[in-house]
Amino acid sequence: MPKSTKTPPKPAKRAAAKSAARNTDSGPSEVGAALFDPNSKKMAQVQKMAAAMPHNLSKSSEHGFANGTNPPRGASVDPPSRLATGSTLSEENGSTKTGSVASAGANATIESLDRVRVDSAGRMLTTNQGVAVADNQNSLKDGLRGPVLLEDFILREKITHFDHERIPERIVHARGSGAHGYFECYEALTDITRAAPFQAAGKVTPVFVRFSTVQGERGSKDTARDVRGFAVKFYTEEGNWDLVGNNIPVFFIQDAMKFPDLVHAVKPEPHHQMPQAASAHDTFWDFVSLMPESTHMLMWVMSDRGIPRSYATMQGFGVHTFRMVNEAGDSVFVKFHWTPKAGTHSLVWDEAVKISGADPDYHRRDLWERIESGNYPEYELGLQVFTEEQAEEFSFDILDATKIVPEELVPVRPVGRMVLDRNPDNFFAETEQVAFCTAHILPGLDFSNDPLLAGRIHSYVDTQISRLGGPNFHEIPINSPIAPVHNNQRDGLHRQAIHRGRVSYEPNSLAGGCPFQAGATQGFVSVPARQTARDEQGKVRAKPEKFADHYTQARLFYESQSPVEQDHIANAFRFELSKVTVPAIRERTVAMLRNASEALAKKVAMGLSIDPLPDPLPLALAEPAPPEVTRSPALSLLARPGDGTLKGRKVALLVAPGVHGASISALQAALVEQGAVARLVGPRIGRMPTADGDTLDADASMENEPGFLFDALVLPDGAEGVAALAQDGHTMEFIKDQFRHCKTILTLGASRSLLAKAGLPAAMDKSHAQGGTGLLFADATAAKEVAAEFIASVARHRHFGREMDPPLL
Amino acid sequence: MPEFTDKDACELLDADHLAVKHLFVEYARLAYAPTAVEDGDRAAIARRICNEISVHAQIEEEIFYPALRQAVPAAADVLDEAEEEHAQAKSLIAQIRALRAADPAADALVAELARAIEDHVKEERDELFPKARSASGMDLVALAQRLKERQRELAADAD
Repeated sequence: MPKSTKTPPKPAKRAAAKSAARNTDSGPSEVGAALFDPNSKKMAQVQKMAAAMPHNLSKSSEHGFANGTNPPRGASVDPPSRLATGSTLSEENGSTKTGSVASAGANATIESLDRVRVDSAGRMLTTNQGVAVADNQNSLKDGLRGPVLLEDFILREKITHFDHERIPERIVHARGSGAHGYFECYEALTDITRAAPFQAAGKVTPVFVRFSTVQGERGSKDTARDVRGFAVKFYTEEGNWDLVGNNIPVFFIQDAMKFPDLVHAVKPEPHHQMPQAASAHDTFWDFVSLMPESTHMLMWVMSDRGIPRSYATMQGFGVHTFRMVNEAGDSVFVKFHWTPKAGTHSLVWDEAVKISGADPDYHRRDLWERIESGNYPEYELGLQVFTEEQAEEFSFDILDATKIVPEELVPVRPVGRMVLDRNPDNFFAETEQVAFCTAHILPGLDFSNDPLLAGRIHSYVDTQISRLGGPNFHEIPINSPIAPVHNNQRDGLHRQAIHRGRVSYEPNSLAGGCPFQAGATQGFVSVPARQTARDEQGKVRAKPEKFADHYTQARLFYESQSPVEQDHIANAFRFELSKVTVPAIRERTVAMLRNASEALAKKVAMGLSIDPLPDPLPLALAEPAPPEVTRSPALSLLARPGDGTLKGRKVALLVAPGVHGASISALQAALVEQGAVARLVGPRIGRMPTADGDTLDADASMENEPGFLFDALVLPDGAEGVAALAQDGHTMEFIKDQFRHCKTILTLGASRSLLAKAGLPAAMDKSHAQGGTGLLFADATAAKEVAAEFIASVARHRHFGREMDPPLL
Repeated sequence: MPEFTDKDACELLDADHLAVKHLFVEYARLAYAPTAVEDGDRAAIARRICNEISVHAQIEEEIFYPALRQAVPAAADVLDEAEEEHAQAKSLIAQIRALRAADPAADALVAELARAIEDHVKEERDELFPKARSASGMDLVALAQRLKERQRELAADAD
């Protein structure tokens, strides 16, 4: 049959268009819209919208380096109406469940947490399906004494949900506590970054912070010697930024390839699952003593930094070198520092051990109580900013996570503050389900080539997928950004979003090209600049040479500490290594320490009866570059006393029937005035008559709140009360621990005899005459006058003058 | 302070240990303070530390060590070592006294002295005191009296 060259005559328009538009599997060659017919109107609009994109306008910009660093915004066309982009015409038919039509350009899953908050005031108990439960006491049985029936859907739903309440704990940082707050920018940093939180003075960005230990499991003690996680999620209008840091600025290893080895070594040993929340065991010290790059980190963990007093009194660090990028695309290197306003304060080891028994939730409770009482933890964010050229001159490699940039070399510039002012409503929904990922950064930020960071960028996302049960963990309310989320990622377990329309790919013309790529002006563009390699190099598994300097900065840290802090480091090594059962591992560690500090190595060796000293470990780098800085006072806790307030500190005032009440009440008032929590602690809780006719009501007992849980102690006057305390063995332990942990003790009147009974050494007399011991004595009548001196002494945190090894008392 | 009965020789010496440790701790606190502190305070503490340790070392060498040497012949080695440590401390003290101002160099020397004294005190407390306390031939109370008197004389000279 000959092919017709003529266009066939147009079919009868209206009915044909209506008919053609009512199929989902085929269509005519030309689409016409029939009047008042949404189906054909939609079909015609889709055709028009698709035809408006005759080809892929962006295709030609996908090639070449210049386009790669400056990608254009993706092509899009405005649909003739919203009809063209909908999933279904029937979206018009709303109900109380379906609601109405999706708002244009909106993703409702990013609304504030109010969208998922639940309060049950005045409500009946229901099943998960919303069916009111008449009886929540009994399962359904065939007769009072008969069998429970399989049909009891209420029982089965309740038990089934209960059976699945737990999720896998984090591989590391399982034990943690979180809080909401905000970050406030001091001044615009537009000269160095276009990152959203730093764009204007006074700009406020909501944050969620999670602090954690690393080694222990979810229910383990807070006061273990360990690194603390310090992870901050910034919810910015340009997306979520997670600064997943630690309270120590360096790490044990330099390459993510060793991360599983490190964690396997430090975790409870695999055969008997011991010890919990402790690094003091064979496998950890075996590993680190074969990994000399860990020496610097070991110094920090063995220092008092490893046992913070509070999450509110520890520094935070971004650990790795990051980049900041400005609008023009110029980048600088940065290191992030969080500095607590309350000062950087620690526990002492004996105290940390005891606390872990009496209150394993010590840090969690402290954080919660500080926020509940309005003593909001506050931290200043500081940046060390330096250029690639400066970095090349440094004696160390800025890609090496076992190195710091000394503050004397690059000063820390304060850029903002973070305040934690809201506790979570629900631990599981918020603190447990929050998912931090080092991969979460914003336009204006970028990574360095640190090989440990590279592994973390992969690992965090990966681990959340199995912990939170699939790839949609970003939709869990605590994780959802406040920035609009629009992409073509779809489906997966527990999907929340309901996407309108049929397009889940790009490029497309069936959604008018939306969502389109943002382009360089608004979107994230990786910094093209890379650390240049001196020679032409190929694929390689090796480290840069400067990574082999394993000891210079370990020495810097140790030499920068005050003598008392150095003692604590030596004692911590002694303790940890004494728990090692293999002498060869102890000796290898001492051999490693000899390269950092001969004095430290000797001290540790003496404490372990290692004599003679083993030869130092061979050096991986025979002649490391001479360091720019050999002593950095900023590394000592003494350089970080903070604002010296008593906010968040706890003071015990011992009471018993017959104590002098007015002096205790006066001191309590003075302490509370300063923001301290001043608790009356008695032989039992409850009301007690005082010698001066008043009544005191103890809210804690020496049995339930032992002395080491408090930052300071007041001992009362009143002969009868003191006699009651003297016959209670808890009192002497209370005093002994307060003395041993170098805390301030105020002794009023008759309580002097308690100190003698507790064994206060006579040798303290000369120190007392000299002053500054933190042991104060006053008559009850002078309680008000001594309060100021007592408060100043508590603000000093600890009085290490009385510390001897082994302890005096 | 509670009232105590008189201290014996070991307690008297230990009182010096504790008092000077308090001075070292206070010195470090001032040296590391992030806000400027009067340098004079630090220098005064350094002088006091030097005086205290000098007197302490001298009464040990003149009275306590010879008494212990006589009562416990087996302690000779430890006592020799203790005297060597005194010599080392004295050399540091001379260097500190030669520096007038409180500066990082003085801070480093005072820290070094603190470490040396800490080690010395530990040895004394761990090794010498138990020997002295358990030696049948030592009258620690009488010895304390002699130490105290000599200490008073020397302290008066040092002021």
